[in-house]
Amino acid sequence: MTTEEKLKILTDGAKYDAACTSSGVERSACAGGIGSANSGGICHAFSADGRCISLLKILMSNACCYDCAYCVNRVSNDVPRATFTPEEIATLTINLYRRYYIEGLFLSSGVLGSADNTAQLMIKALEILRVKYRFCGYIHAKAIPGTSPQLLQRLGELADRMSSNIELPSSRSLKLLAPDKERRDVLAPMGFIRDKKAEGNKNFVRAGQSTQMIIGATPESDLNIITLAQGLYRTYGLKRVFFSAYIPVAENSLLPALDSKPPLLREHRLYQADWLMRFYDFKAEELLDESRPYFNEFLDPKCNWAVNHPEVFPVDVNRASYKTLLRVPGVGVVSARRIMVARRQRRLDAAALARLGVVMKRAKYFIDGAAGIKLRAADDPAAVTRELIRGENARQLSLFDDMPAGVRAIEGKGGENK
Amino acid sequence: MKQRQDITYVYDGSYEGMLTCVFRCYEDKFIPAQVLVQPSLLPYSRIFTDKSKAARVTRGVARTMGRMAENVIRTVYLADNEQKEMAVIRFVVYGMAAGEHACRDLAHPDVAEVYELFRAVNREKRMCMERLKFSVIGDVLVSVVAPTHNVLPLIAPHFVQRFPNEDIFIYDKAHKLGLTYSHGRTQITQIENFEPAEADEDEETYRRLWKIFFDTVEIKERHNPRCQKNHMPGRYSNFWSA
Ligand code: SF4
Repeated sequence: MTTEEKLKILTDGAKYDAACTSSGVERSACAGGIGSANSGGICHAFSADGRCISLLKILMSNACCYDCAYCVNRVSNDVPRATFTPEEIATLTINLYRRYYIEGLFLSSGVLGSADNTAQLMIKALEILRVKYRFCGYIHAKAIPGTSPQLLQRLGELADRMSSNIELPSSRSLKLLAPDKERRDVLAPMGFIRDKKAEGNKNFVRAGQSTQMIIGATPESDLNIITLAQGLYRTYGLKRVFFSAYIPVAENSLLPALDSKPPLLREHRLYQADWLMRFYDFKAEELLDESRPYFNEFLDPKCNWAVNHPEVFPVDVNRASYKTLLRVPGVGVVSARRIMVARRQRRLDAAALARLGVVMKRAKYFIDGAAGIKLRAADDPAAVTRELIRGENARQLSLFDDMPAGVRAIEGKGGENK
Repeated sequence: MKQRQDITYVYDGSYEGMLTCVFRCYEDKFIPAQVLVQPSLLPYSRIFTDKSKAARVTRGVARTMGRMAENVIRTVYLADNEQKEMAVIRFVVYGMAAGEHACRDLAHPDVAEVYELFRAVNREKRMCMERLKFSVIGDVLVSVVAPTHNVLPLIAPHFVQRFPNEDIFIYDKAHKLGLTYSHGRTQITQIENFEPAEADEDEETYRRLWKIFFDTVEIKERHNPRCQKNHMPGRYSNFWSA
């Protein structure tokens, strides 16, 4: 099989993984080596689905011996199979990297015989890159559930980021749809990596770990999902939880029909909520509760929270705390920081706020002293909701254009979620 | 400082020249109506670049307004924008009076104006740094770009850090400038014209492999060309072919 054919098959099997971030490490090329890493991450291109391409995202092999119902690589699926050699992976990565097409490698794999066998092949590929080519660019490696601790340890020394995918938002769903996997097999590598990192070796999985779950294949609510995400951040210190809208790949009575559309808007709302939890100090239970377990289709989670909490508004931007500023629709992390700095120099009016990057179209209902605004969230939340939805409809047309997470290589500081 | 509507400065377009214009404002005790590089038909004062005056402005800015202000001015100088000199003059005039906190007075119109340019140049730097692609031609990493601001000086350190042992040539055809990096030395020179040599077999192979990857990694069910286009502005679409 030619490299071209293999690349096609092994990209096709890897593309459903949402993670393509390359951030979290800052590093120059080592002596005699090639490659550096930027803590902010770099997107080299955007594919025609609007997702950022930062890493060469490929599988070691798609010849998987497991049979997870939601996955294209499952053993019972009738697709062409291929396996890269470690040398092929290293050569391909170096040559694309040198041309500045990519920030590095994202190496995942189906289970080739056994988890350990697969991990060994992956380690081989990464060793050629790191040792022979002195490659100092970014590497993300998947931890295959069931891999033994020694091999995880070695992978973690070679990779900047590792991930093990939780796949489905509940153990029940996982049991139903992934008969060969147990929740604890998925969580074991996460715990191992967390504990090893806690021992203080800075070079071990330097950019931390992430996970991913599939959205819309199984019946969990948005509340279930963000609560689980919050728990994973807290328990395992994850850098990211990715959500991936389910794309039907199999006829199965337990899964959505083959012609159903991926729930992209829902995924988008979950990413917005995730952003609010990571950078805006929101808790899952503030955003949703048992009486309202799903996000509002028409309004982003932050606006939705704001109109449901008229008692917090109006906010006095000249005095409010940073935390309170972050809760104002139209104010993002960057503009909130600018407000904190600029208001020490002079009193801020509406024109000044606009100069600082505040989206007044949304903020005006929620702040003190926006000239000429009679409508206030505090007085008439229902009317404000209508106005916001009208504005949101216009934004909706360009859904994902402003998508903060998931599609960007950058996942760190100051994501905007205004 | 008052502005005089009847005064135009004309300078040589250099960084020191721009700072000499700033110095001249302090000599004249007013701000001109505009600053041009090409002489206009209307009367104007020609400002002759004076390195020692420029250095005095740099020192004054660094001392009174801080290092950040100096960095802002250096970056804004790289903008393709006819208002940049006036923006810098107003920023300095305000900042020299206001002192160190000028850079934090983001809501002041003169500060906001210069910062907008500052951010625009940095955005373009970022864009260029993300979308640029190299061809390997005769073992040199070669790229042709056409950025909207003169960002070569800003992106150089990044590529040097990444490829310290390579020879690099990046041509900015919009500004007719070439960035050369070889054996640890970086240089930017005026170059009128540059046509990269044909790709060899190896180069063709990796372009083809990249295209296969690029086309395959799209999830067809999520097709969204509009979003792609927003992130990949036309001026960068052919960067990679060098
Ligand atoms: S183990 Fe991974 S690759 Fe194999 S079928 Fe399950 S999800 Fe797919």
